[in-house]
Amino acid sequence: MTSRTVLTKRLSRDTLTTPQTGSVAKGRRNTMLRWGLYAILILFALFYLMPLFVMLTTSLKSLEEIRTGSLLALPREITFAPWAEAWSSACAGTQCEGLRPFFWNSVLMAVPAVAISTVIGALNGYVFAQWRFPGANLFFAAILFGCFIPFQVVLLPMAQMLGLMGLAGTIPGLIFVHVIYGIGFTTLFFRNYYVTIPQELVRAAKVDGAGFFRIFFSIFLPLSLPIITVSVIWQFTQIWNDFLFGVSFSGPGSQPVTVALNNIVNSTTGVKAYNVDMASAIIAALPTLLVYVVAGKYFIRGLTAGSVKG
Amino acid sequence: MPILEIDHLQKAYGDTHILHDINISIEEGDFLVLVGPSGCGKSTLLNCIAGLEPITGGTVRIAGRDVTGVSPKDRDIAMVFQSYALYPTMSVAKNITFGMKVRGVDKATQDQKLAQVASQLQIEPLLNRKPGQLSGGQRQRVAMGRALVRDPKLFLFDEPLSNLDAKLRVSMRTEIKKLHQDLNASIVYVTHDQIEAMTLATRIVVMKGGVIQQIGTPAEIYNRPANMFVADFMGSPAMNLIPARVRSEAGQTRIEIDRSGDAPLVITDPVSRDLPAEIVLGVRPEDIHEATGNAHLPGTAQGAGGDVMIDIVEPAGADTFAVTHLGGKPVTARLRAESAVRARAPFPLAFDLSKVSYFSPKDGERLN
Repeated sequence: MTSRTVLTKRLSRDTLTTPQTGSVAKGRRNTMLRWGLYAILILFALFYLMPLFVMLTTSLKSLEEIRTGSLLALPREITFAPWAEAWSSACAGTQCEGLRPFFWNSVLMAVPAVAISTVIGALNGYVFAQWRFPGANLFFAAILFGCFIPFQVVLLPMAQMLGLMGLAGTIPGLIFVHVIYGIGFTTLFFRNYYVTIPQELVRAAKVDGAGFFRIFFSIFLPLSLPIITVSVIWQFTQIWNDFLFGVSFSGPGSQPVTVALNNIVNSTTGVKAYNVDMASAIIAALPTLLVYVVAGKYFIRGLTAGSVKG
Repeated sequence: MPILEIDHLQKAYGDTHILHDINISIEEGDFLVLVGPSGCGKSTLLNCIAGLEPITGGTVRIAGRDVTGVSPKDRDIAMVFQSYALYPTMSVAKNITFGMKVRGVDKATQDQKLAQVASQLQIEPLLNRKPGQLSGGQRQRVAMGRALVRDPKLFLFDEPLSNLDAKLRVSMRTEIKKLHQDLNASIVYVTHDQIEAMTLATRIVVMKGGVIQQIGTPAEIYNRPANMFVADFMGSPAMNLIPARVRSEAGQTRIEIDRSGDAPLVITDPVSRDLPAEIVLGVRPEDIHEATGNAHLPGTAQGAGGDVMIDIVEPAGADTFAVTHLGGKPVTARLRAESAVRARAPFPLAFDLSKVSYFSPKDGERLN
């Protein structure tokens, strides 16, 4: 959304500055162009929002209403019962405690994994961008390569590894896997951000007497808010939404919310409770939405930082 | 004891040699300017002195102490960078005190030194601002403040004025010179601007391709350039380098210069002996005078000139530059503003032979 807003802003600014010399007809054509643009954008927005609309309305209907009413209709009577059930009593397999325990599993997994992978990425990026060492390019290529290894490839060796480390089926095990998988991306983010910081800054700090960590904490970290936001949003979304690692490496007590959501939707007793399923799905998706809403504006800024000067 | 002594310094990246056998020694209070075209290795040399670049061979001594393998922070130096390299998230005050904070200097001393430097550079109103809120000239001052507050043995300046506009550059140049005089500081200063080098330096090192071409005072460099490169690089407009032939006639050296549309110009040098048959005559524009009226200017040898065809006349306020062709090269003369010189007309010019340089056309080295 934000990138579209930027586009329309730029267009409107252009249309505002040009008519000074142009004719009235040209100004009118620009206005029509702008309205056309808005119409297209609104159309796309509606299209993309449709599933969310269906999910939200269905989750607020009773089962009775879902059976009799239309898919797109607004609820006649709003009920929050499906939400309560999804949160605390829906059955995932044989366990009927709702999403709540699994939601906290996901929090316990995602928060440390995001924090650790971001910190390691920041340090890696700092080294690759500012402390070149022989073979640095090779190392960086290897780390980058890690971004492109499909999850399925590592399932078996990782299971073996976690078993050897005694972390199989535990939340720390999942944290470990996600940190390893995240380092490639976070390193790339931070390295590309820090490359835009002039080397003379490091040199000046060296002459001033600062060492490796002092330069990092006093000079680089305070500059890093935009890229930390990018890293956190990216990692949080990846880790929170991950299903494959969650289903492969978790035990009965450590399943993340995505796995539980799958189990709730798939374990039915007779009638399919669409409203509970929809409520569960929204609950499972809320944290990533929230992170983006809170920090979204830094996300775009961080992704484009350094690409254009000034 | 020399404050800085560089002995047989070598610097190479793999097989690429950047600096060849650099030997420099300066005394306390000297203002050494490293000057040369871009890519000549002058900034690399400065970084080697700072310890920011490891060197491949030789030694660097600062105040008598061998610092060849010592890290930059322990060399007792302070450096001002081309981009100023101010820490963007810190206020001006924090920028200036950062070095002291890192070194664990107590707060009272920090504050006192900060106040002293701030008043010296007149940046007191800026102390709470961030570098992003400062103009180029103000950033430059803060960068100098950060160096001054350290009170080091040696100051290193890496093209500090090259990012400023022309007017500010001239005034900051004067300020740097004044600071040098007030503090009696020892400074190594890198620039590609030969005017900066001439105005600031007590000693100049002219470099090209990683090799020192000449070391000397500004006057030595200007008046007696060691080779054609130095002659051409230092001075604006550049020294005229005119190909010429030498004949020995009746014990006197006669120098023949081709003149367009006329017989060769012959001038007699009563002093110089043993010149090879082919030379390049180097003469500064201000050492070519108008030969009318007061024909025998002090130091001007008799017969050291003649009529030449003037191609272009460029009035420049205080002077008038007249461009002619001699020996197939354009030759510029700096004449008085009220000179009657006209373009596309012959005009009598005389060379001040006491100030000319002779170079070998083969290797460009100085002959006299």
